[in-house]
Amino acid sequence: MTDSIEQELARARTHLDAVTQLVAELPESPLLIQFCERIDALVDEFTWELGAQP
Amino acid sequence: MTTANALTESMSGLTATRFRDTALVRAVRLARDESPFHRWFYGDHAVDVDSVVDQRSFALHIPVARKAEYLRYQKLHPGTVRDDVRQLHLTSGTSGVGREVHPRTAHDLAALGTGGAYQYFWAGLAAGEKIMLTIPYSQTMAGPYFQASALAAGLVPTNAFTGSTAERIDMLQRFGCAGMSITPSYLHRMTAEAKRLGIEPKRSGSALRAIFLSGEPYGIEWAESMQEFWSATVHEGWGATQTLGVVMATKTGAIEEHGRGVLHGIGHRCLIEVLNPDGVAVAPGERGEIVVTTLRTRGLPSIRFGMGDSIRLLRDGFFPEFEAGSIGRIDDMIKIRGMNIWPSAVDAAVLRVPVLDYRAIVHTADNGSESVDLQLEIDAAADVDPNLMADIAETIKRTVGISMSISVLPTGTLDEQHFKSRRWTDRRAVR
Repeated sequence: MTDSIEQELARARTHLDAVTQLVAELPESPLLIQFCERIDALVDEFTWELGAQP
Repeated sequence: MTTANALTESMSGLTATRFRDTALVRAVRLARDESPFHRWFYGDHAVDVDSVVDQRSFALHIPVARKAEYLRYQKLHPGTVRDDVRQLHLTSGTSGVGREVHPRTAHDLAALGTGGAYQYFWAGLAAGEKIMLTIPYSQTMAGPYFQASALAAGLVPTNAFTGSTAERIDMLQRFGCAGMSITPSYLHRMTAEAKRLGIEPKRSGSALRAIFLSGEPYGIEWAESMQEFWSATVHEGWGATQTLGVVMATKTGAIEEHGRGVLHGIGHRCLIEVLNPDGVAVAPGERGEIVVTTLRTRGLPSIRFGMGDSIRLLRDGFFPEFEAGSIGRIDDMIKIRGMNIWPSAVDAAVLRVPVLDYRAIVHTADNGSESVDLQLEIDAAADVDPNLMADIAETIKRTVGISMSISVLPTGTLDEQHFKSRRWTDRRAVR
């Protein structure tokens, strides 16, 4: 079960990285960049609580 | 007792050892690579971070850092702030030697409340329930931490750090708070006020089930009397600015069978070592200094940070256990007439109904001997046992080892303390 969650999370992280890169190219949208920063930090924290290490 | 996260709490044996070793290596390397303080500190101490491969080599090669070093660095490099800082937290300043600045990144803020959520779930609270927060919101970490811990557990914070004690009691009832976070000295005062107002939680069907104490030591009898009055279980959590919040907490309560309960270390988030003055790990049953290594902090991680707090270790391991209710400052000890006196022992003897609070003044008497004057504030509305002063004096003599003179101050003389009460003043001619 945990392995499945970790695999899905790794996929989600790949998607999130792609979103972050695209958002970084948007002009004058610091708010969206901060969303990406916060989501990334939460995913990192969630990963730790799965017993894995980012 | 409830579980907060079965995945981490069931970790044991080889899995736990591997997790801890990997986490320690990661933490110390991140500190070297990202934290300006640690780059400076390890350079100053010629530390080879790459030689750390597990907990044993970690303890062998990494020196204990202290508040003085943080402050020294911050004085040498004022204004050194990382680009990715999102909050700045100051330590409370109760040590009197200076206030550390702790920069927080987005990762720190995402992790800020997780330890507290463990504490709330362990105590049986559930998402959607309300928790009253009484500890002030300021530039210290306490305010953001308590909000974040409620958020992490899905609890609804009832913010009661302004207003009168009577208003807080009213909010406790009005919102049906299932939990309350509070210091022992302020709970003591709030209880006296509730009694004065004629409130009887036991009879009125209060929703309160868990009282979370932090910040100060307390006596067993006192904690039992609080449980009895509020009809709720007294819990304890320990954490600090340096640990990014709670890293040890009780599960079944701070009191167990008329003795002190157990604080459980949250081992996958923070390594808690208990060391003797020579820097050697103490054996279970012994007291020592709490030395912490945070595994989730990035802005200013604590890597073998000596807290200056002492605690009794009950069991070591990945999820260590400690004695609840007796955490004190190692540097709080006062030598009076050649005796080692810990203020926490006097707290335990004095703070009982109807005493609201006290101040202690150590001074040199006219005959040159050292004396302690205890000034008590008594609840004016309470029925005072005529033997109260004699009982307190006898308890102090028996448990602390010296006699102290006791007087009573008019009600309202002492300010309410909501966070880390300061009770002792040393006015001796020779210190």
